[in-house]
Amino acid sequence: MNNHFPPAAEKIVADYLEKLKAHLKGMNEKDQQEVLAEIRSHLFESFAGDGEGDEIDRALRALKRLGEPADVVSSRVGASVAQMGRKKKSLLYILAGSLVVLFAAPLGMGGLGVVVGLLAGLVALLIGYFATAVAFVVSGFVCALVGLVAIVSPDIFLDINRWAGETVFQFGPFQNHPQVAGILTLIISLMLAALGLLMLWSGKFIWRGLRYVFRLGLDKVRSLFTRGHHPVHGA
Amino acid sequence: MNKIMAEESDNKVTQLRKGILELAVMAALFQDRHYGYSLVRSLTAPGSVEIKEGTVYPILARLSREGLVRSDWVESSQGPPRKYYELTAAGRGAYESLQAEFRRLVRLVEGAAGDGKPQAAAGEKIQIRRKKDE
Repeated sequence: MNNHFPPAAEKIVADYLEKLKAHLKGMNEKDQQEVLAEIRSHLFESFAGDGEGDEIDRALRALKRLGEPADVVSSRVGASVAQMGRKKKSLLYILAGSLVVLFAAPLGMGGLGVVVGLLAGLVALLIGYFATAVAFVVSGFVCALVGLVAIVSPDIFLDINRWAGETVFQFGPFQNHPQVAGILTLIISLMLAALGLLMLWSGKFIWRGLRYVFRLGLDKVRSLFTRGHHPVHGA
Repeated sequence: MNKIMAEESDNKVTQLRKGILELAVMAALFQDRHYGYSLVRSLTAPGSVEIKEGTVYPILARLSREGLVRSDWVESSQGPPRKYYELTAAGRGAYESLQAEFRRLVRLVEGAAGDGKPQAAAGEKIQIRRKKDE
């Protein structure tokens, strides 16, 4: 039995499944493949059962009948904002959902002001966080380089001090042992750089969380305006 | 203003359908085992309501997580393998009690629409969850 779509339809279905896969992040690979296989099977039957028009029309109609990828993988129907947070099983998501529900829902415009203020604060925090991380990485690697030079050719610093006629490079208790100072500098600065890299890596979670908070906030603002500036009641 | 009211009405209909769709899925699986596409076909039979086909999958996933349905992949002679779902014993029990509750609610609504009096049988307790702010 031929389990494949005709080429043009295959491309349309493959694009859809790619989008669907993007919504499955966080799910293990085996479960992802199972969801994709199930939806592909559904689309195949839907496509095969539709005899009108060319293959592109049939594929597009099958996708339209199925619905948006987000609706297909949504873990619950009619999720409230806070429940959407619980779905993600992340403290940040729950907090974000709760904030919007607590402030934006019952308080209307005033509550939205609080949410917007909180979002602005979060953005400032995020900028500060990444600036600190980058500073740690850059200064860590620069200091590591200095430490490395102090280990490989310690005389350079002593020579510079002599030429300058004053102590440009100070090694504290290790003034006469720049190699020891170099080793310590190398270790500490590499730790600093590693901390910076760790902050950058973990920053992606903060970024995702913040993006989620923004989406919730924007949805609330949008719903407020589509309701003709009436306060939003209920979540 | 009419547009706003129409949107509100659409939202209420959507919410109502979503709430009942899970019960409808369980009802279909109570009768027979189904794979996703056949389940959609049985739910959208002529004269029935229209739904986006994809909405059954989150429901099936949730029922599966709750242990109310189990699934098996079965080879098909007409295309790719199909994932069949059927209610577990717990699922059948859950469906029967939900269906009984649903019938009581329908009688309540139909009664309210008729003479304004709920039609629940004597001694029946109809529980309606109210929001705190109501």
